[in-house]
Amino acid sequence: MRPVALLLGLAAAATAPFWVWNPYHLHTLIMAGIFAVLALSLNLLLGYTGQLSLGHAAFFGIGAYATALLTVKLEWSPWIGLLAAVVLPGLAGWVIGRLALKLRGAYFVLLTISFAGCVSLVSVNWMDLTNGPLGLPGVPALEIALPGLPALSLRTKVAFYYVVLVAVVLAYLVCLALIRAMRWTARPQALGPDPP
Amino acid sequence: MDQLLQHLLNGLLLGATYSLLGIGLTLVFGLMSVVNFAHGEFYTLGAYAAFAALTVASVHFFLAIPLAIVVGAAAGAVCERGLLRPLRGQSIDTVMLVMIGLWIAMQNAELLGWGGVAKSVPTPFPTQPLVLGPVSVAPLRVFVFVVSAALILGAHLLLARTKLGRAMRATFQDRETAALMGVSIERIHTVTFAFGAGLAAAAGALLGPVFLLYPSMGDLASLKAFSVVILGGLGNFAGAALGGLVLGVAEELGAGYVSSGYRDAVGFLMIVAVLLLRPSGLFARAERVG
Repeated sequence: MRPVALLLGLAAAATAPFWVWNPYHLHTLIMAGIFAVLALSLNLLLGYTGQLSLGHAAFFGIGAYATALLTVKLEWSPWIGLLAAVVLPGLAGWVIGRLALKLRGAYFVLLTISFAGCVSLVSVNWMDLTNGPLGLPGVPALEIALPGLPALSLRTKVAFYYVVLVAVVLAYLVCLALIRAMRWTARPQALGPDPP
Repeated sequence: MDQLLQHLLNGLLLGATYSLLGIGLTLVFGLMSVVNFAHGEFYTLGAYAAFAALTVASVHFFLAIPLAIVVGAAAGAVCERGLLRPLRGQSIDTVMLVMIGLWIAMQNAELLGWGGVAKSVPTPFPTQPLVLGPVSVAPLRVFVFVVSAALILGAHLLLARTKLGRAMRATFQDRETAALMGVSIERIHTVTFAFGAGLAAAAGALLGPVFLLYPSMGDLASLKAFSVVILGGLGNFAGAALGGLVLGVAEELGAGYVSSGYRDAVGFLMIVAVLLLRPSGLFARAERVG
């Protein structure tokens, strides 16, 4: 039963732009996909180590600013921006994790909230870098340029839907691989009830 | 030098309300082992209750504050009976998640009820500042400080001198033994949570006229309360009272000498620094945090 449901779900997700006519509904699906990636990340932490991070918004924000600053200010390729949006928050997470995971429960929650608060204040107040509350408009869309073919911009909603869908599937597979890889070493679920 | 004096005075005046917020939070944690992330929402509730009393029911300003405290305490008692009592014996993390849910629910209820537009509370105080030698201060701020100090003193006397306070302290020290001595733990828990919520509502009703009212105002209040409590050590009454003043002065100095945009970062940095370097609080006995 489960593989059938999974296949049906995947088929529905893969064909969604063909039967979801309303652009607003498609937009909602895109946002749902983006937040699914965020939820996968929180699940890795909360579900497997039992630590609740209320500072996840900070990593979300660091990723968004990494892409925006590299593409808008330095005019780098959006693909590099996308890669930076994975690597930089990862590095930030490593540093914060090293510090914060010494703490448990409420103390960990508070430390992560405080970190997110600091990141948010910096993004609002550092006008020269982030343009403050006005934000950074004009982040370029991803482009696929194959040799011999005209460049294909992924600016349309339908194209972006597929970008997000690929991201969700990739994020899911990476999380799965990570949990499998840790199975025989330090099983993270074991850390839940009684940490070292 | 005058500027420094002015910052110190402003910091102390503001800090007293932070103490008020922190004391409520620290009592609830110490007595009930509840990490109350909804604390700031009782602050918001107090502010809006005072606003409603002033503008809708047009009661006098001085009556609006006790009314707000009563509303906050009643809401706290209801939450304790409805949410926390059924969760007695659950792990502290479970209760914390429920309180985070309560925080989101209460905040959205405020948004639904009052709309997202910021509101300002009218006060009978003149806006002309009082000039005291080298420093000047708004009369409203002095009033807020005096009432906060009186409430902190009242809370201290209640805990130190009354029978109820003794029962609360006994519960704090040893729940089982207190129960054996005939203290009704259930009642103490309801009273404590209502008390903490009432203090938060008082802080909201007092600071509402100083700042503006908006539904998410409780987020910052919660974080300030947590900074104060972490600074003073979780469950430490005197630590919270002192921690509030320290946070108020530190914020004022940070805003004055570093950048006013980063005023709220002071509290965050304090949480991070204290948790990483001295997790039991600046003036506290040790408690396991890891």
